[in-house]
Amino acid sequence: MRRFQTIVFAISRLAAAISALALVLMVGHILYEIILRYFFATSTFVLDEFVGYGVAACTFMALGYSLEHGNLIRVNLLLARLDGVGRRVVEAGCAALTLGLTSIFIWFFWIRVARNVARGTTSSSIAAVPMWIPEGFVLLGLCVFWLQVFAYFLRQVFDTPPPVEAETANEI
Amino acid sequence: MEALYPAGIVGILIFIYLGLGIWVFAGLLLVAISSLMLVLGMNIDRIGTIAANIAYRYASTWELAAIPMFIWMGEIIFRTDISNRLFRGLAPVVEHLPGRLLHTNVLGCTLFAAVSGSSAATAATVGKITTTELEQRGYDRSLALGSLAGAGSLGLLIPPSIVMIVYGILAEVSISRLFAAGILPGLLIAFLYSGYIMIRCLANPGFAPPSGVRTTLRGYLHIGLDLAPILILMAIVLGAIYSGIATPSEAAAVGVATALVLTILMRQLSFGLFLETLMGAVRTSCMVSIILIAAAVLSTAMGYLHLPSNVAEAIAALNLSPFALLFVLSIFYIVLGLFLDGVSIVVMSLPITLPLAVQAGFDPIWFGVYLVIMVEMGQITPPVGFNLFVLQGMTGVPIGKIAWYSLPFFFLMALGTAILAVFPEIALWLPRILYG
Amino acid sequence: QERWDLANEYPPNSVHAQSADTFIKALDEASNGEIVVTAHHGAALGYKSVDQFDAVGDGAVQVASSFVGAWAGIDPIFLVSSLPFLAPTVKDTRALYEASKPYYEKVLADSNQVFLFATPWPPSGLWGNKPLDSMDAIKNVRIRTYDANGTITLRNAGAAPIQLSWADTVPQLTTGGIDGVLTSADGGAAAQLWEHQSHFTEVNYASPLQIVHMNKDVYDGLTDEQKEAVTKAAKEAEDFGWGLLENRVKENYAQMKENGMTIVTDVSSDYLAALGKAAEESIADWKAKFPDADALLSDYESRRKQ
Ligand code: NA
Ligand code: NA
Repeated sequence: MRRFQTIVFAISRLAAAISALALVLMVGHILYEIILRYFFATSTFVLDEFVGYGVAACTFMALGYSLEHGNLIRVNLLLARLDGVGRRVVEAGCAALTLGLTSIFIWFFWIRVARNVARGTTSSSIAAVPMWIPEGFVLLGLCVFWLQVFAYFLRQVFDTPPPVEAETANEI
Repeated sequence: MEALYPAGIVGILIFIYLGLGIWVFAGLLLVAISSLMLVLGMNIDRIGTIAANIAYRYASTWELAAIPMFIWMGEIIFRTDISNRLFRGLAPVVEHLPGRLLHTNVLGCTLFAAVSGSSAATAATVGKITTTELEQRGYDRSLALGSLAGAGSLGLLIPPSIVMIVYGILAEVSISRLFAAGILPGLLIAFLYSGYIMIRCLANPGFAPPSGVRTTLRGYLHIGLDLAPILILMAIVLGAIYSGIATPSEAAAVGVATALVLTILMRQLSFGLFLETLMGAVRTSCMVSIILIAAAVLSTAMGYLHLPSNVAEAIAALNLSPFALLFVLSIFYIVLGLFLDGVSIVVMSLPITLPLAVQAGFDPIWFGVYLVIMVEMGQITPPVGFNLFVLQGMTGVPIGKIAWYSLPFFFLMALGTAILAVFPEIALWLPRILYG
Repeated sequence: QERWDLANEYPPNSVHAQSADTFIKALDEASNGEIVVTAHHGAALGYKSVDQFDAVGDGAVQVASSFVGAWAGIDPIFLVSSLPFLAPTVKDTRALYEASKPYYEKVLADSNQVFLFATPWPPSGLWGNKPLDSMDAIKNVRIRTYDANGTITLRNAGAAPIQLSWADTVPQLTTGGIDGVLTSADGGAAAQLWEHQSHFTEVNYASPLQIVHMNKDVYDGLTDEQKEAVTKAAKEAEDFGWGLLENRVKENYAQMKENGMTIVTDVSSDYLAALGKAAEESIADWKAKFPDADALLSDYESRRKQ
């Protein structure tokens, strides 16, 4: 159990590293574009497209990691009034609902990605990027998130501690 | 009245899901899915296709990109000496204002609004810098968080502004004029906020800690030095926008690069700290972006329910006088703002409300400014209010409390709207001077 | 009673929103009120043209009006109407449309949807702060383009194409970050580009198509009378959209002149030939991607001569 939790969190952190890389690349691409446009009157011609892929990847790949750090916010009206078993039941219920929701999204993104591969869909820009790549990152991020929520669910069921402490509480 | 039946269902669903304590983004998605299922009887195949399509579309928009980058810039400022210096430098400046450093939120957001086009990025960046400091120094939390939530939304009113660009494209009015028209109303609202803070602090001196510091001549000389990094940062970002080197959307990247260079020059940045800022930015922006994406799916669901357009049509059928129309529209937009995010409000209602407003004699530029203020008010009303989400994520204070703290600032915006309705020139004067 | 939603990315006053509204009204009449369609202009449902191909095929939305250029990555046939300088007049645009229509119908049918009708965008030209009427004049001018073809063609012509999102275009014009914009008189007028630009040079770069398409399952579920009503309404809206074109250009020109713009219409044939030469690379690229290109183009040539 402890081992499973550690492995899942390691996967989430690895995915988050890709998010971080995406963020750095977005900043880099924009700066490069500005320099090209201002000093050389040219362009990479794909800025808004690539930065768009960057935001999507950055957001979805970080989902599991943000969940585990307690950054994904929730309304604590009910939770704050519960503890012990009652709280674990509600937490497990929330996790189960989120698992179901994420499964739906994984399934429909899988359909999109598979179709993009089969049809050979590309972007309409000069780069003609195969669309399964950026959408694949979204799918991958959703799968990592699913795993992390599942780990969260198991912790509620078996009442085991998380591998990291949520950090938001001590920031004020 | 028939139009209100789906609205009731959506409202109840939001309270059930969010009240249950599920993650906000998941709750919004579940509301969207359930209401399409319950009201329109759509099957899961169709709903899933819709949701995945819209989620990907919104997740990969260029306009969203400014958010993670501005949040990163805020992280860099927050985790280095720049934020300390900012407060050290501002302290003597606001020394004699009632409420002292409480004005940093309003001042900071007003300045930052000139750089950022979104409300979430403004609240997140300034909040990252100010919330901890103000709390540690013993300032009243309700005024600190309330003013931050309220002032964060100035990001939309003071140019550049994503919502104004959307309005300009849809209403076919000049974006440059719209931008110019937003400046004075933005400052007006900022003054209302500051005035309110002063009144509250005069009435209740305990809201701000005792001053304690006596600024010497040498201290005054230090102000410039302390404020230099943040002023240089602002100057470079604004300079990049107004010289045409960078577009407003690109300004965020210039901001990150400048903040990095500054902290390197100040010998503040280690690789470890760099990673800390980066991962902090990834986490916060993931939270903000995923909620925005979920809200886009919810907005699409509302579009399928024909909710905003039906209600807007019902208003059109009332044949009201100009001021009565404005009043009813304001109520309509405040209610829409409870559930929808900014751009969706504009896009879904405009085809009906703009012709109404123009027919009633309102200038389309003025109406754009009015609409942006309405959108701003929606940012701080629960259950779906982005500045509230951002601040909850940052401080851990429950959303209900933050909403309560923000309420006075909500009414101040309503007051601002009323002033603007009586004196439309506040919006229309500047564009006329600039563009004839 | 059938209740459909129609998705459209462009603002309520745009030509394509008007064509879609015409379709909706005609369909209401032809079906005796049996088919009620609600339009969601300005991307109010959240879809962009590129999404609408699958959204309609999957039945997420029943009807949509989509800019075909956005589908270039789905099938190369959708590029043909945006190829530069291939169809400079309205008559040519129509001939090219007639020649490519069977291909559109087939690709859409393969993706579970029905082609209803197509209407053209007003021809794109060069907005700028001087007449962009010679190869010398456009040399090194920084022009915002909207697709890969424009980028390739303008680069070959010696200009400096820049790709920007439409939302960033006006701010960049305001600050002088770019010098000009490749778009139609209509598109520029909607964004009031005359506040930053002084000249519009008519080069009839391209008049790409906007296709209105619907889900096949929904279509197959209609009665024969209803199908007939759809066909009739589509025809009416198509005629309206094509008829709109010339009037719209005249109206735009009048409005632009009122706002102090100079319209440059009589550019030399040498210049047009040189631009056409610059466009050859995009056309060759497209031919390499689309196997039936030669058949389509020869059909187009023969229709054009009629
Ligand atoms: Na702003
Ligand atoms: Na709200």
